Amino acid sequence: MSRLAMTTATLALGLLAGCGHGVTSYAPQLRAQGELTLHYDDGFSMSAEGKEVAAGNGWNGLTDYVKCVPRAREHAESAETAGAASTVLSILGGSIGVASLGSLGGLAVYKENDPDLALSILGVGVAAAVTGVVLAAIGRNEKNVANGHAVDAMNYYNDAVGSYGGTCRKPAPKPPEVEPTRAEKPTRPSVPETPAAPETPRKPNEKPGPRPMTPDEI
Amino acid sequence: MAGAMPKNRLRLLRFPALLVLPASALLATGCGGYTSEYLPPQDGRPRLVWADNKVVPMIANAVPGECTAEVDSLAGGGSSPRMSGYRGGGTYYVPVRTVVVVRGSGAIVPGPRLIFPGLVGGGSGIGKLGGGGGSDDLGKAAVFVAVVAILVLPFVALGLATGRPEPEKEVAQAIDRVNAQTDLARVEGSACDEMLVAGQEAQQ
Repeated sequence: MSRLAMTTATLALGLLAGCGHGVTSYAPQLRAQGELTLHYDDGFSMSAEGKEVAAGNGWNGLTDYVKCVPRAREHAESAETAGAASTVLSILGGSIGVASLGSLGGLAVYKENDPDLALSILGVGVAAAVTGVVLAAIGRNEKNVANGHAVDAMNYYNDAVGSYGGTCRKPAPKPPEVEPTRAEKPTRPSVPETPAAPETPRKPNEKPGPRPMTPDEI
Repeated sequence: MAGAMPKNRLRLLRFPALLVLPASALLATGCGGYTSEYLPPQDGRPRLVWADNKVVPMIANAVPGECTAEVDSLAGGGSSPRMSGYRGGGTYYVPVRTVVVVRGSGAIVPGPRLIFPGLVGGGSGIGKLGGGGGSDDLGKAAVFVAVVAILVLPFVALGLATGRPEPEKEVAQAIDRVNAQTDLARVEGSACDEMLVAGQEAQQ
């Protein structure tokens, strides 16, 4: 019985902890000074101005860096809150789960012909183990929430400040807006040039929605 | 002995009762993840957004085939001759203009979509333990189940607590590709040049 349980436990631990390994290999070369860039080295990390600004799962420091962009600040605050929650829940879940192993002492009572007491002890152990799993699962979900909010904070900040070379401490002026002028480049020769199009007033309601890039596209 | 059976069964009923609290906590907190509501800009640069518990490359524009090939090469470790000789003005890139897409009329561009794997139906239930034996058999079965659960669940909890939820290789590749394409978008004359990509969008 114990061999089966240990094998299952080892497999579960391996699968859930993740056997993969991911590291970004491309270093961005053309970055504006205050622009946040994302990296991954067995965990998310954001950097700007040549140094790390914040890292998952806690994302401490991100709010301070993007605070001048309201939407970015909201997401950064959510990221830090969820990151802290994930840390607490993960520690609690793991600890309670491991502590539940102590209830196996109930087996000794069982062998001493007190099955009722043994069942009670084991029952508490099962409840503790399940509680540990549930807390750890909620903590894992909070990690995802934290990372997602952090990525959005980076996007909103870069769109408003970072991509222009500024930071919240030293905003840069927004460069002049220009319309694309190299549309006639030879990637789509079948598409006729429409000189009138650039002069068409912008209609925000007609903007297309973005779409995820397919593996063939990027 | 006759009075022991109901007593034992009563104790066995405590098992599920003890699970009500953690199950309620799980339901109350919710299992849903986070999905970005952010929309990438129309200026020909890609962005990473969060969906399905990972970062997903997203762009508002159609990507030329040549651009895809250059991104593949650059993100895969290859060098870009255009990139190597381009610094954009010192240590940092200095944007000199903001590309604004002015779209022609009649464009039909698909909206954002995410592909979710279909739910696979079916599944195995938990087999019956014992077959109508007495309270001793029931008690032994309960002890067996409890011991197995206590031996396995702590490792599951540890795995959940210490593991990274995102698919690591996939996430790293997505970041590499978006970083590479963002660089190429800023290199004048590259296949991913933002003026070119955004210009194609304007023509549609």
